[in-house]
Amino acid sequence: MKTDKNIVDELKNRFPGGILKVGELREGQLLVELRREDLPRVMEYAHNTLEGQFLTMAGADYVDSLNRFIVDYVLGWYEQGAVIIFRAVVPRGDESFPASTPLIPVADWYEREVKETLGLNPVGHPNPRKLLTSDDWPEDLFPMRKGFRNEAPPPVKADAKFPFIEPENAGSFNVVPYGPYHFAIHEPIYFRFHVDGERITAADLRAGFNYRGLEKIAETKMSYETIPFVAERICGICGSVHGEAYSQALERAAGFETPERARWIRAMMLEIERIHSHLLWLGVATHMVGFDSGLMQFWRVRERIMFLAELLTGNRKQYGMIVPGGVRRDIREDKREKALREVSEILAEYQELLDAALGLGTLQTRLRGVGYLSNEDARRYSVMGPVARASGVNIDARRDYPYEAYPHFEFETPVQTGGDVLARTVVRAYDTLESIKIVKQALETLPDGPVHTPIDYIPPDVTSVGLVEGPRGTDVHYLITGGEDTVYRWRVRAPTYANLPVTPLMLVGETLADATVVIGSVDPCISCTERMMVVDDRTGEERVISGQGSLEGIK
Amino acid sequence: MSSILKLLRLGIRKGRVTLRYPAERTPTPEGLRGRPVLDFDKCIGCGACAKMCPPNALTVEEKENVWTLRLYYGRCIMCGLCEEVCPVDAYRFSDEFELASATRSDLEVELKLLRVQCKGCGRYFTTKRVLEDAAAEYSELAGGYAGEFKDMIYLCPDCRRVKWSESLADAYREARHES
Repeated sequence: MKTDKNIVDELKNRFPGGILKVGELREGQLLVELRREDLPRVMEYAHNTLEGQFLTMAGADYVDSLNRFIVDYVLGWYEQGAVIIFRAVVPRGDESFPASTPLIPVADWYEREVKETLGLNPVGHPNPRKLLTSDDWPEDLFPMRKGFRNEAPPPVKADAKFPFIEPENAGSFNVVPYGPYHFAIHEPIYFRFHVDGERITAADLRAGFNYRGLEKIAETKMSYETIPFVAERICGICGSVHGEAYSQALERAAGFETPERARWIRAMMLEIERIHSHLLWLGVATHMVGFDSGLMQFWRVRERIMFLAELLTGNRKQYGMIVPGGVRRDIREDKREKALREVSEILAEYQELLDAALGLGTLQTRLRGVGYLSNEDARRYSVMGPVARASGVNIDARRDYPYEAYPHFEFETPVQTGGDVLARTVVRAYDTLESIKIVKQALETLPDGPVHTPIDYIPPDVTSVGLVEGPRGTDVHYLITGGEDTVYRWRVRAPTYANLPVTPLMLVGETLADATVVIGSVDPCISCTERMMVVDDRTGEERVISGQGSLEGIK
Repeated sequence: MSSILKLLRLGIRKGRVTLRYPAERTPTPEGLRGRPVLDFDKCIGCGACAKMCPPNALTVEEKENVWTLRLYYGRCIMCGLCEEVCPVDAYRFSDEFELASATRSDLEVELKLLRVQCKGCGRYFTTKRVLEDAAAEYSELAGGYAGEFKDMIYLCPDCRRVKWSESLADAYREARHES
């Protein structure tokens, strides 16, 4: 099997002189320094030929101390359990780097974000429109630069307008606005569909309404200890995932081992969150297609999970459990026994419901062949989690980048090849079943010991990446530690950031009536993402849908 | 049996699970993170909670002889760090979670404590209760030396440093004189 070193060797052979330095940060994480001009070629080779998943990209401002910026592209090889950070230096005075987006479209949002927030210009970017900041935000004000202070907001410009892509022959096409609030998920995102009759021929989207600058707040106002609480509030659904990814990145930077009991409790909290998130989605998805009995029944089961979380943590959501060093609350023996009884009952109830609801012919017919995403596109755009797994990309950070107590649990990762909404539904439904089993195992085998030990020392200027398989896919936190109890750079890449850009791909060729469920099928979490993209298929050709979901593996 | 019949049976068997809230309610579990309640009698005014509070729901204002702690529940995220850092256990999670209100003032709590003056320079430097608490702890810790440095705690940190250095210098001179 290939290892991360082999990958670097292959890159060295392919690009002699392009790789300046290779350093091992820690087991499984390498830092490779590149020449700035080689970035796109190396990225294309690493992503397309060597099949690395694009995990995140971040820039950092070192102007005050080192007179330069850095840009880091983080790619992951799930099969090898390897993460490689590709770093290039951008000198002060020439704040630009060659864009990789023309070669690997997955880099689109990331490079635009670096342009907007740090002022590093991706030269040759095909779509340099705004991503996160509001339409009237000044072009020369960069919030993530160290010199930026958020005290004085820039003046409002009333006539600012976002350059949406207009249909070429406006006569025969119509534009249907969808948003700025999604009908079912009640989150701010704005789509513009170009339609021919009721078929969608192109889709444009504008996000960023919810950009709150949390990373800036964390860098300037928070300490290592209080950031987990901000991290948890990035998302209202998968808060623990962010808390865990942040803690993991920080603990890796410090070379810290979490106490054993805390590792079990963390895995348990992450799985409880996945169950609640998937059941929420299954409820909303069935509601979106007009199957309200499904909504009622899935949420009936979900309510028990919410009570379980409340029993263990004191909160239905935003558990406030995972902090660097361990967890904040222990699980008492009587609570553990109560929770175990509850989980066994939930498992039985869920199996019964799954059998009844997903076996429903009308539901299957409604979802089959809708919102198709091919395996090639799933790889090309490095989509994550259930969206990837429904298109036959077998990735799961819990299995491939083992963390916390996961290596001690037996679980399967459901994979489907259908690539349609049905396949995504099946993946999530089956995922939930596995999660309930993991929670059961965790409660049964909970080891004794302390749940929290303080981290003695966090060395400054260490780059680290935390990877956590959230309900929507792999959540990636990129972190550079700073001195004085605070982070130097913290870049959150929520899984929806990877999944949302492909929705226009799924939508083109579909009918307007399906748009809600197709957008819904990536389980988008806009607050997480905020932090666009266009696919326009101007030919207006109807797409041939070849994928079909199946219900194999459910019974 | 077809799925639709299974579903129908499931629905009939489970019946209605929603409650007639707020008339009917489920009991809250032990350890619920409800509204944190501050015990005014216990609080000594050290300000550790305000330093720790991630969303700045707790803020401290120091003005002349009054130390004011403001707790605004509208910003509180129920994380419980205040409860964790409090040296005198003045915070307690309650089981109140219905905090919706039409007026902001319903969600505000204000505690005012008296500050004391430094016996050296005369500026206000900490609350009376912190000093009382420190004095109690001090007499335990200092043992036989309690009398000698008793005045130290009534000095502000700056004056304390000066006084400490002076007494060290005195002791040094004395020791040299004796030899």
